[in-house]
Amino acid sequence: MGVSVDDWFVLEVLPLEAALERYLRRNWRSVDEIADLRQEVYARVYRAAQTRLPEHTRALVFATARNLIVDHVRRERVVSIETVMDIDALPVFTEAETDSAFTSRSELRALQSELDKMPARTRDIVILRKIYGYSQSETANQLGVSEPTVERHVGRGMRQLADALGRVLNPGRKTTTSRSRKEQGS
Amino acid sequence: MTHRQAERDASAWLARLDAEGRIHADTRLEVLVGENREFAEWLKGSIERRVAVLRLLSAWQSADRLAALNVENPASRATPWRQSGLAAAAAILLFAIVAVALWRNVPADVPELEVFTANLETETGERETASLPEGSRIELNTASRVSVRIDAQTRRVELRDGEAYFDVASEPARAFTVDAGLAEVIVLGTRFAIDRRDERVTLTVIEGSVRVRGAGGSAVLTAGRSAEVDADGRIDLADLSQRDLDRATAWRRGRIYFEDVPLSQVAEEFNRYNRAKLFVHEDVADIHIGGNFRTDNVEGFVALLSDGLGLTVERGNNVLYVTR
Repeated sequence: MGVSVDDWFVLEVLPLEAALERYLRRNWRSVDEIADLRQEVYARVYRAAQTRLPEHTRALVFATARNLIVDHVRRERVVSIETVMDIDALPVFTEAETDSAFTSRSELRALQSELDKMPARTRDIVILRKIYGYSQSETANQLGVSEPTVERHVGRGMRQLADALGRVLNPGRKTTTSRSRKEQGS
Repeated sequence: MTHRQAERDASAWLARLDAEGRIHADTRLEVLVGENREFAEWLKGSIERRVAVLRLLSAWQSADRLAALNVENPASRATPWRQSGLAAAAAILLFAIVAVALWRNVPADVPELEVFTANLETETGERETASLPEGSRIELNTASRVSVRIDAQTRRVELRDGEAYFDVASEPARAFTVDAGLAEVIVLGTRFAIDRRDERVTLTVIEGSVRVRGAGGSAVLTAGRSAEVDADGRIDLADLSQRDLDRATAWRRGRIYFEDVPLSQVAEEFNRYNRAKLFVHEDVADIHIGGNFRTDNVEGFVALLSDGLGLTVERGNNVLYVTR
C-alpha cells in the first residue's frame, strides 16, 4: 500500500510542481512561504491518497492548494487583506502546459543550468558522484576533502536539483492517472 | 513552519544512504526503508518527511541523466587548492628538504621549488576559510575572490573582489603581500582585513603591523588602526576603538553593524550578502539607520522598516522595493 502511494506521488504529483508553484505564487503574497505551502499541499494529497488513489490527480492537487490558501487566510486574519485579493475568485485549475515531447530534454537542461549555478565545491562533488560515478570516499580523495564534507554537499546539491526540476513545466498527465490506477488493483 | 527542516533532514538522510551506495536509478523508497531501521524510525508516521524524501530522492535519481553531459572531471583541473591538504604536506616536505640542504651547506643542486598557486572564491552569502601551506589563513567574506601564489621567496595574494581576513604566519624572511588593486599591503606576520570596493580599499589591522602602498604613497599601520585608499591612491588613516575593530570584522561572525548610516548604504551592504536585493527609493534613501543584523536576515530588516519605520515594502521576484 505504502509503495503504491509513493509511486503515485512520484509519477503523478511531482511533475505538477512547476504548475503548482506558479499557482501558489500567483495567489499568495509572500514568496518565502511558497515552499512551505507546497510541502503542505503534498502532505495533504498524500494523506488523501492513502485512503483511495484519486481519479484526477491534477484536480486534487489544485483543489487542495486552493483550500489550503483559503484556510490560511481565514486562520490568520492579519494577512487577509493583502494576501489574497478575492478568495472566491481563486481558480481551481490552471491552464494545461507545454509540449510533452520536450519534457525530458528540458529537464536535462534544467539540471545542467542548476549545476552551473552551484557553488564550486558542491558542483564538483555532484559531478564526480553523478557524472563520473565515483563513490563517496573516492570523491573525497579526489578533491582532498573529508567524507562528511562530501555528504553535506551531496545533500545540498540534491535540494538544489529538486528545486530546479520543480521549475520545469510538465505536461498534464491525464492519461497516466488511469494507467497507474489499473496497476494499483483495488 | 517545518518544511525547511523536513527538507534538510531528508537530504541529510538521503546523502548518508547515497554514501553507503544504496541509491540507484530505480531504488524505491520502501527498499531503503527496509534496509535501514534508523531511517525507517525517522520516517515512520510523518507524511511531511515522507513527501520531502520522495521529492528529493526522485530529483537525485533524475540527476543520473546528467551523465549524458560531457563535463570535465573537476579533480583533474589544475587547482591545487582543492588538494590543499596534499599540497601542504608536499610543501612542508620540500621546505624541510631545502632547510636540511642549506643547513648542511649542500651546493644548490636541489631542484627548483614547487610553486603553490590557488584560487578561492565565495558566492553571495557564503563565507569560507582556507589554510595555506605555510600556515597562514584566509577567511573570505561574501562574493569574494582571491588568488594565491607562494614560492621560495614570496607569498603573494591578489584580492580580486570582495573582502578577506588574513591571519599571516610569521616569516620574517618571506614577506606576505596582498594586492588589492588600489592598494598593496606588505606584512611579515599579523592579522588584518581588507575590503576591496570599486572606489576604495579599506584595510583594518587587528594585530601586528603592515605597510600599505597606494599610487600616492605608503604608510605603516599598527594594530588598531585602519587605512582607506581612494581611487587616486591617497591614504587616509584612522584610529579605531576596540568596538570599531569588532564591528569592522563582524562579518566573520555573520553579522553587520550600522551606526547612523543612510538607508541607501545599508541596502548596499545587505545586497552584498543576499540574492534578494533591496532597492531604496530616493525619498527614503537618506533615512539614517542604526542596529546590528545577521547578514542573511534581510527579511527581519525589512520587517523593521515596515513595522518600525512605517515604510512600504513591495516584493518582486528576488527584489524588495522600499518606498515611503
